[in-house]
Amino acid sequence: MDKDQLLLNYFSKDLTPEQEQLFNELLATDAEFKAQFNFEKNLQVVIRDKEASALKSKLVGFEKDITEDVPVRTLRPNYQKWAMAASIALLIAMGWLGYNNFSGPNYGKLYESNFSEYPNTVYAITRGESVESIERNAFSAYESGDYKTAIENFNKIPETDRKDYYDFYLGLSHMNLEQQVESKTFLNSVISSDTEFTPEAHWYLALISIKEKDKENAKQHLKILTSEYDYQKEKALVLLQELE
Amino acid sequence: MENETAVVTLEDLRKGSDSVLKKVYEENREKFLNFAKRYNLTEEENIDVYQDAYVIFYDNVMSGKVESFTSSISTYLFGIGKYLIFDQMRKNKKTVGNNFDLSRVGESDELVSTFEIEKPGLTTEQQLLRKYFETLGKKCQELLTLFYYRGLTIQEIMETGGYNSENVVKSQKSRCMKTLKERITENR
Repeated sequence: MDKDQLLLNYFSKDLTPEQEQLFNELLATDAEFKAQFNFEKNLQVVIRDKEASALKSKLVGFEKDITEDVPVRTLRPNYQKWAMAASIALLIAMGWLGYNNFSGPNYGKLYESNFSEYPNTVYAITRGESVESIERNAFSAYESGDYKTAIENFNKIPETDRKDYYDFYLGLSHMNLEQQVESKTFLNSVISSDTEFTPEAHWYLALISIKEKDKENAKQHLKILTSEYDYQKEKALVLLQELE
Repeated sequence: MENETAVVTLEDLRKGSDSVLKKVYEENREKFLNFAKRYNLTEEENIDVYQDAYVIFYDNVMSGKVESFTSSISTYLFGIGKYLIFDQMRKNKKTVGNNFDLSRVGESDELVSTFEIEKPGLTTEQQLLRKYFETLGKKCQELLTLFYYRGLTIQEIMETGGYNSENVVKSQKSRCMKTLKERITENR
């Protein structure tokens, strides 16, 4: 078989085992063959690169079609904001005058506008994994917002196999379920064991303190956060100012 | 398996008609953006990540890394997208602590674990090759793309391109490559 045909078969993924052997021998011994192979391989990389850029431009075009077709897309309801607006409207309608007497920062609002759930950054969930691990179930539940199941699974993991970051995600799961007491226990444990999630723990403990209108505690956590860490620094500084 | 795999086959994707590409883009867009929402990127960044994940997915389909769909297209896109999102978050130094270790996220992601997600940029030689490839006639570019990118055999190119015989395709291909090599050497 001639060398050209070998190369054609290689790129068509059509080499027989014997041809493959010959192909590899030539690559190792025949400099001209190797140079031709490298040239074609480079050409393939180049064409793939060119096609990838072309596809990206095409997708940008599709996106433009979508946004132009639906100019109101940006007005998609943001339920959280609507819910907040509705509850504020309700409060006004009920004439909850006591509200006016409440001076100082609006803790509920500060909490709402600063709390967002923390993404799972430690465990990649894949389908088709052969080993069913409890940790996988825990994070899978966490990611889908089923915090109760997440907690159950985290708690199932034997003490000896526990990883540092479980406490953090347990804290966040309880926080999402509005169970502040449990949440504080776990987040404080994150801080005392000084793991990689310590700054995050300070941030969320500050938010819990805000929710509980415990100004001093909130300030304390925010001060540690801004002076020792970079995490959420800008937001923490703004919050500190609002609390002062 | 979700519906779209039943509708858009791997074969359809490989052919890469605009209508199929657009259908896949639109069908998975909302799902992806919903999935991405939980991470602290802007909507603009999420759309950009969606497109990049799509491009990487498609590249792996074309290079034969995906031989059959073992999952819905959206699952592939999520797998790649998650990797890209973490990468972007790390670049933005947002939300995720600075100590966050990306390798821990990627390692168990079986579905896309064999994918080429981060490709090195073109080498100087490849950049030159790309420059002169674009100076070739349309017919040459098409033929070489069909062979090296779409993975068509010489026989299939003969059939789809209306050539008289396989030999005509082979000699046409050789001429294109020769021109390309000459242009590169002339300008070196």
